[in-house]
Amino acid sequence: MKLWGIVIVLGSCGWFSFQNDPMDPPLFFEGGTLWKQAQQVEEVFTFGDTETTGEQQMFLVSDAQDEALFYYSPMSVVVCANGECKLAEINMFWSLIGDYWGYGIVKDAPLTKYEHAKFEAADYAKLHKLLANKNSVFRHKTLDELIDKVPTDNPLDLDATSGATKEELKAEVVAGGAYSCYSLWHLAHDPVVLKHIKNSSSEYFAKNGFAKLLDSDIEQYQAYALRQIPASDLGVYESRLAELFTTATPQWRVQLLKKLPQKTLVTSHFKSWLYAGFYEWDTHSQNNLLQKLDETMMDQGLEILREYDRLNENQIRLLVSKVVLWPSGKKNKFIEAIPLDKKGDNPVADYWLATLNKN
Amino acid sequence: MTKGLLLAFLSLCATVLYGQDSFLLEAESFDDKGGWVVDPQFVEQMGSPYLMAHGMGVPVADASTTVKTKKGTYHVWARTRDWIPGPWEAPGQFKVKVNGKELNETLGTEIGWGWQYAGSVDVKSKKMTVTLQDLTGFNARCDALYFSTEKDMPKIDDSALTSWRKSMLKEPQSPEQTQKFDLVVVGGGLAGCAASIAAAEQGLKVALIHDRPVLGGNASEEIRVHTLGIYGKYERILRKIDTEHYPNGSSEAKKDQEKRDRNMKGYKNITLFLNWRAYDAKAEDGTITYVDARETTSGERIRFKAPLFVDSTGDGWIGYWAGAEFSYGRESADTYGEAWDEWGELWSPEVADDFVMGSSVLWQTHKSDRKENFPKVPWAKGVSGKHAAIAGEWYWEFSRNDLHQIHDGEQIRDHMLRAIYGSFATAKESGKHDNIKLDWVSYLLGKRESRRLIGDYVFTFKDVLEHTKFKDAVVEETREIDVHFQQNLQNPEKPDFLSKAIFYETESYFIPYRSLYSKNIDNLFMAGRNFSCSHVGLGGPRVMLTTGQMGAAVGFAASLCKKHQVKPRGLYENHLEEYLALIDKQQ
Repeated sequence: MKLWGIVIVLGSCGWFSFQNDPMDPPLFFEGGTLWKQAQQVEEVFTFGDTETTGEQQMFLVSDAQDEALFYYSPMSVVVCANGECKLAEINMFWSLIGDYWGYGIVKDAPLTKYEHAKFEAADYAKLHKLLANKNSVFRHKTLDELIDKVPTDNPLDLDATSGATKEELKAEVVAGGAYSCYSLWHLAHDPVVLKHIKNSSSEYFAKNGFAKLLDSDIEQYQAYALRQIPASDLGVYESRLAELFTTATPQWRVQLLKKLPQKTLVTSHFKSWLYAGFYEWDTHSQNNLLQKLDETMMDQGLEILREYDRLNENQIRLLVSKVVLWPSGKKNKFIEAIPLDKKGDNPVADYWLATLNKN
Repeated sequence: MTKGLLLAFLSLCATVLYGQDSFLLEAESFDDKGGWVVDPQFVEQMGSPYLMAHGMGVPVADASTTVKTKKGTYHVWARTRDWIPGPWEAPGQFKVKVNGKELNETLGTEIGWGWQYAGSVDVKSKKMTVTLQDLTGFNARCDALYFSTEKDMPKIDDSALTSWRKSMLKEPQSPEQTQKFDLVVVGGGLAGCAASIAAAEQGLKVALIHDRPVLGGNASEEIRVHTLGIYGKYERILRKIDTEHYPNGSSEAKKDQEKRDRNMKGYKNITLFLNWRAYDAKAEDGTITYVDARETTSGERIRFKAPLFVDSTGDGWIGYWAGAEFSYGRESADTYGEAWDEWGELWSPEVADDFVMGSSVLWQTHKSDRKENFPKVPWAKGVSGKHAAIAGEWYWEFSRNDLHQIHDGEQIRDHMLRAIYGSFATAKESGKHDNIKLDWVSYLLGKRESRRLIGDYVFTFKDVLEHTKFKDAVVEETREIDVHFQQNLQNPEKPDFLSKAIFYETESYFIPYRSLYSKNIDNLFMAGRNFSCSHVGLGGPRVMLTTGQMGAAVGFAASLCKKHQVKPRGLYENHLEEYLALIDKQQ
């Protein structure tokens, strides 16, 4: 494995000029408009087996301000059929955390399948769908297990090697292109490649911080950043983290709530975002916040209590179980603040709050 | 004598002592249960098996019983609950009739399990016929009835309920009878059945205690999950108790039920205790000396003694009562190195939590040749929302991070009932399914994950990844690892009662014998979902042919423990070769 560090500054037309020579714009790209911001590429490592797929280069693509955008590799893959071998050229893209993002083809060099027939538009789309599926059947099967060696009369069943594509594979692969699909999937999801991408990115983030990842709209980036940032450092990003609560999916919000310390959850940033949105959240997120309620969060607890009739039985019980542990002064203040005008709207809530009063 | 009569008799004795006529009548002990079903799933939480009117929208036939009593005016209370309190008519309502006279109050309308006043009645004969009359068909529930000539019900805190029941029933502290066996297996799912067969075939005298009338657990006709996995080295045994690959929830489960029950009853060495639920296990110096169990309707009790026990209860109750170390919840991804970055928190969390895989309630409908009506269920719509469905499957599954799959079991089951009734009602309201009839809804939870007892080895996802070749491998599996999460974690618009599965395809992996006996209770085996594993480790082996393999493995182990007079660990340390040879011979 070679780790290189050559930076290529793209021409004044930026990415487009680079795209056209030698690469056309990607056919599929999950990174939105990021590729249009590309201004520089730096080769970060090489990979691949010279015996089979050949040695490939991996580039880190950055914008004009040196902000890393994504990874890209212009690859040449050998595809053989009926004793004739041909190079398939494809430009593949990965996110900064190693997710496959898309591919493009080289102008005038379309991908081919059985007997080197050209891919059609639907074939390209199907290939992208396959490559985007991390859990494809390819993950655990060898090509031999996926191709019947018994000849078939239907040429589209045939792969670029020989034999018929098995039924379990037909829905996933381009007809007549199982071998190409297989090879490309294993390049897109090569664990060695992913490991090097992660190492490369880790070095980058260690130097540049995680703010950009958190600022991104890409949830995988946000989740990755959250995993990497030590809990003790989360305060640095609290403004953005608080903001993310409004857009996050429940699984991400739950993850965040589990990790954030109480002292962060009571800061002004969070106060405005968190508690105003509480009743719009899913139950799992709500429970994670309730689970954290201690006496330092009394004001936040009171905010939630204003609409206690919207809590379910378990949440009321959870709230009660927390509040009874508070020092008596705070506990009494909390009990006094129960908005009795809500009484009757939710008999379960009333029932459990009555138990709080008893204790 | 039935429990009801016994209670009434004993209560009359008590009358002399307390100067009043009062007695307790357990609903599950009624002679004729009519259409009511006995639900023993939540005894540990609410105190008793109870009767439930599971009519799927059609009021069920009355339950009744006759007791001897004194003449007089009796006040009657029922221990019951409104199972979905809210701004609607309580869904599960019923009335009590005494000697044909309907008592005034409608029951099942108050929050939380408690005593609700039913009314008073003049009893002019020395016999009393008590009837429970279901009014709604939607899961009214009655634990017990208390009769007293006094106007006030004694105040009984939930914490004192058990001792109060005991005093009312004049129950001695210990069961009246003791029975001894070579091996006591608690829990008659696939694991418990296989353990019993293997041990019995090797000549052990086995007691199999199971709290339902039919065997099979999740594979039974009462829950209807098909068995998955491979047979490993135990095909001959497992084929006696497995299922066809019918759609989950299908009534085809009945055929396999007949097969399983017939096969199990054919073993002379196995004494079946069906409808018996274990309620305690006592260990002294790390050795279980007995397990106590109660017949779920009569209340009769037996103390089971044996040198070896198998906990195949699924929830790890025997281990729990005996003080075995156990785990519950999801370990952090770092605990055993089980992270799968692609799925992140949904697979294994960064910070440990209790958000385990959920429980399912399966259901089935059929197309009738006429229009089939279904009642309005406003109390269900808060769960089902706009979701419409006319069929269920495995992914009708509920877990929430504030709900414990054991302690909150009743709430989870009830949530699923609301999901099913509400979704079905919405489908019917659409006008597109006029002829669809709700045939069957299970009232038993099909659990996936609960307590996991800790053994000498904790099986984890790493053992799958690395295909660890244990020298004591006794279970082999090839089925994918399959961990579930709730759909609404990815998309909050989804109903909270639907799950998704993450599959990890794998080659063969193995489970070691050391994961099948307790680390600190020296005569306790475990087989089934409560074996020694991590949350992710459970993802694959929780399916029933795999748990059946575990059962067979511990059954054979028990036979050699008896032969050599050793404990489970001693077998591993000193007789492993012989044990593995015995298993190999089964093929």
